[in-house]
Amino acid sequence: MTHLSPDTFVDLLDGTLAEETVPHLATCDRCRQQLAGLRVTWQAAADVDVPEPSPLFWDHLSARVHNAVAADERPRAPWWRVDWSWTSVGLAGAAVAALVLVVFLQMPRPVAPVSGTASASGSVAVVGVANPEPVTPLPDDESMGLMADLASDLDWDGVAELGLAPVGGVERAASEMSADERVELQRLLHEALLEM
Amino acid sequence: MATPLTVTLNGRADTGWNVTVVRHETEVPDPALQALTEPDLIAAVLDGRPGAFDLIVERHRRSVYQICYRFLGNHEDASDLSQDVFLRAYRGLKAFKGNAALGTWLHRIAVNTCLNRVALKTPKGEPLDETEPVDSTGETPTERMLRDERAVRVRAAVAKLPAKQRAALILRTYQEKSHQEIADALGTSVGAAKANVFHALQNLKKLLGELSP
Repeated sequence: MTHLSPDTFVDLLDGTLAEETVPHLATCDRCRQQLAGLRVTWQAAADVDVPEPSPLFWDHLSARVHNAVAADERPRAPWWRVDWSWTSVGLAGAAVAALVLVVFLQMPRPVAPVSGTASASGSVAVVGVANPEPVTPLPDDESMGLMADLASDLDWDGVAELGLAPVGGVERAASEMSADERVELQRLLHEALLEM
Repeated sequence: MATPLTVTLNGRADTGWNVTVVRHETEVPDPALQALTEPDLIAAVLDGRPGAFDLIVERHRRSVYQICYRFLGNHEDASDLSQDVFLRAYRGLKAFKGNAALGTWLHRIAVNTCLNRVALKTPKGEPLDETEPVDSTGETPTERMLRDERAVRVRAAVAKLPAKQRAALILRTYQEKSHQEIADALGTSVGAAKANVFHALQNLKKLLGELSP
């Protein structure tokens, strides 16, 4: 026996096909029960409403769509037509300056091998051995002079306290010295202590 | 722009508090737009007339939301998906040929958006307390509780159906779409659309168990 097809079941449920026009139903309990079960299930599904959201929800949804559409149709300006306000330029400049400063501070500084003598006044004359080219004297800079005057009264601890010397800088410089450089440094320090 | 209404409840609130309630009224649609036929309203949107698309949203938001809710089974996802549906519709409005009603076209977008969503993410379903709190039938609290529980079970069962069966059942049962419209929405034949409805009901019957005789 050939039972009813899904197509026929759906047409019977829809009512587009009358039960009387399907003789198989009168003789087949299985199909009759299946049709009844589908009808009950369909009715159970149809009876269920969607919970009504808050009355404010509909306007909220409209507003969300309105804003999304407005944002969607707003043309994006190419970068050369962006409004470069002074604020954004200033912020970008400050960010670049900060980046350069950080990179500069992080750069390892080569410690030149030194040789030299301490003068009678206690100052140390240092001559680069690895780089014998004469150092071009820097042009006079008033601000540098002012800085030198201000710093002349500071001892090493004061400089470190002000954050002008990186923490561990001395230790790092010492650790990167060659054996000859350490001997020379030791000699210079010894002379300086004798003069004290 | 709507004018906010400000009401101060000094006399009715705690003396230590100044309570200000601000209600933002929605903008009243242009009456000239309200009078437009559907094709003219679409033309108005395409011409960039302010408020024209808002009016389309207002007219179809409930049915679109309901499709999304029935598909996903929870308010939060249905709300997000409804927004996506209208945004897609706005972007695709130029391609709308007018062969079907705008509502049918929107429902098709809603079904496709939902199908895409469920392909990516399993719906989380609804909590029991999300059911409708308003008693509009005059039934007892117990009857209402049982009805609500049953509604949650049916919605949860619908949400478990395979995506195309779910779409076919929702469009046929709740949107009263023809099998041809369902076939158009799903990109299938009418026979396949009917088969999806049939198998959706069969599976739903199994999932609901004792509801069947």
